[in-house]
Amino acid sequence: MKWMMVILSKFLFVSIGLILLSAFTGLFRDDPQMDWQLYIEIVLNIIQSFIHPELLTVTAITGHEHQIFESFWPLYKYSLLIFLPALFLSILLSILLSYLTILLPEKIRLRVTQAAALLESTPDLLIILVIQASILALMESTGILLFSVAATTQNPSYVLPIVALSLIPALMFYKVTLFLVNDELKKPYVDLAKGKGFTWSTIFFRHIFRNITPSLFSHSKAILLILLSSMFVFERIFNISGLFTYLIRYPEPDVIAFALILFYVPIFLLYMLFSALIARTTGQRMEW
Amino acid sequence: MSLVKRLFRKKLFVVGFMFISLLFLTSMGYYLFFDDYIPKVPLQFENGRPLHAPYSGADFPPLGTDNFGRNVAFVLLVGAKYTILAGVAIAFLRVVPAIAIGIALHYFAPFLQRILKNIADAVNYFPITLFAYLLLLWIEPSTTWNPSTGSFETEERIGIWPALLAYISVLSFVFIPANSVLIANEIKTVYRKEFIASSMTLGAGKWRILTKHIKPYLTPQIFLMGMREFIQTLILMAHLGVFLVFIGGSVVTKDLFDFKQIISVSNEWGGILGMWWSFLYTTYPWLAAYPLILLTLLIVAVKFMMLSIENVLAEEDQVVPEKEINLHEVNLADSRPAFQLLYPTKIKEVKNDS
Repeated sequence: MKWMMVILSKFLFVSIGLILLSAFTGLFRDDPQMDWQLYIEIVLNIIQSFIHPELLTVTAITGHEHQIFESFWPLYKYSLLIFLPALFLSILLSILLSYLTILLPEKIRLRVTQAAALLESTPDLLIILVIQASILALMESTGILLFSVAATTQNPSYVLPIVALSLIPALMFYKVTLFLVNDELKKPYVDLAKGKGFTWSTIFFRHIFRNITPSLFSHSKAILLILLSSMFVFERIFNISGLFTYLIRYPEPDVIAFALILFYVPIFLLYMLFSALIARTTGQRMEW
Repeated sequence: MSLVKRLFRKKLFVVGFMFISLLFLTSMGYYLFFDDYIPKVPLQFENGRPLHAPYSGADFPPLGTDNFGRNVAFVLLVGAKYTILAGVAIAFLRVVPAIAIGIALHYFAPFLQRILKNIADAVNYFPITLFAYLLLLWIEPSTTWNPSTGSFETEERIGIWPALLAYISVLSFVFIPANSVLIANEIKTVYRKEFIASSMTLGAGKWRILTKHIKPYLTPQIFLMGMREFIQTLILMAHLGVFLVFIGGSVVTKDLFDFKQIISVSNEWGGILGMWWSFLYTTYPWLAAYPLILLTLLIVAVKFMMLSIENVLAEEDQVVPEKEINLHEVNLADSRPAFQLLYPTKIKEVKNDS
């Protein structure tokens, strides 16, 4: 019960932080002014529009005022449909890759670890550039469009943004996993398991993987944040009309706070689920 | 042997260091001796018909021109120093105040750490590019819809220097809380080491421990943190460039065909990347690739330096027992009574000179 309280208070803290930050952006809308009274006013405004959701409105460039719920949910759904699969894909990719790396001889393994450390800081824009340019080049030479490069409202593109988004986080996660696995391989239980005649995949997936899950879990947060930041740029480049594009078009503090908290909800639920799962299988209560 | 000396024996470190300093010095030299002169190519004609502006590198070596007729290679060279300087300045502002706050946090206000950690956590769920973009929106030239003419009109709002100041301060101050917490944690881990306890027993005060014992541990970590921030700053600058927020502000200029275009004043790479990104979908895709490739090279150079610092630190920590320990012996050790000497535990440092 106490654990639940800690987790719920966590959600509250992050929500409050998001509200305060969104209100801060409100100070910079036209001319920056450092006015505490204005700031408090904006914060109160945000809280007020949370209590009365019909106050969440945006003003279009033509001067009309719209309720955000006229167009909000499809955008939210689209963004989540790209974000969550990308997250899972990156985790899956990195675990698969590290399993394959373990099968390599030790010298090559160390080289690979270093290479992963080097590659993980590649700018995500470069990956987009390479992917988009190669698909365009392929299209030019053969006339086959593998995936649609940019989305339109009628024809949303999923595959390419998800893959492109997941690559860099996958590399980062891969590096962390590899590091942890290398540590784990030195422990005597691996030798014992080997001596008992277990296959590599049993040792890796049944034992090593279970032992590194808690650390992986705590590292996964950093990856989440990178994903979130890239997502924002990806929506622009792939012409995805998602949540963040919407926020750029209508930078109202209350809408921003509302959207970001709503985006945090699934992340929060996932973390709660996973920490409960980890607590059940490994007996470790994770703090995150 | 000192850390710095050992670093310069690492090939990776030297390569990274040389790349960055050569780039910076060439760009700086170009500023000092040629005053950032960018050769321009006038509109080209073929059989009396004008050719569209980005001209290829084959016609105008080495890299061709952009849509303003400027020679791309020189634009990139001029931008190099601003990119590096801005990155270093922002990384510096993110780390140095954090050191002071982190130390203060550890000694005077440990109770604040939890609160600050939660604040830093909320920052994490606010996509940082979005946050920086929203805070910097006002330094962009404003675009307003003019109903009488039925067109969008752009006008500049503030000068170059205030814009530069705003850009740097926004990009740096957001990260100070998180870094302060990190540094406070780092100090805490050093405090757990045994020699601190013995030093305290011998009567060392806080100041002595901080300057004599904590400092040697903290300094390399701070440099690593600074480099990490430098890389992140470069990526953030490129992201903001895609959204047409440029460091040093932007001005509206007319290109060769008198179209109004937003242009980055300083030619810094992130801004250039943003300006040229749309060329990816035209017949001049190389223009978008140049600044991105250079940025990647810069990041890789810094990463080289970071990796070698990490390697040197790891070598320093490593102590190898003279005799190879037999694993069975170690396992047996647990079952033996306490205080029994099992094997000579002569431990010496590895010689790193080789």
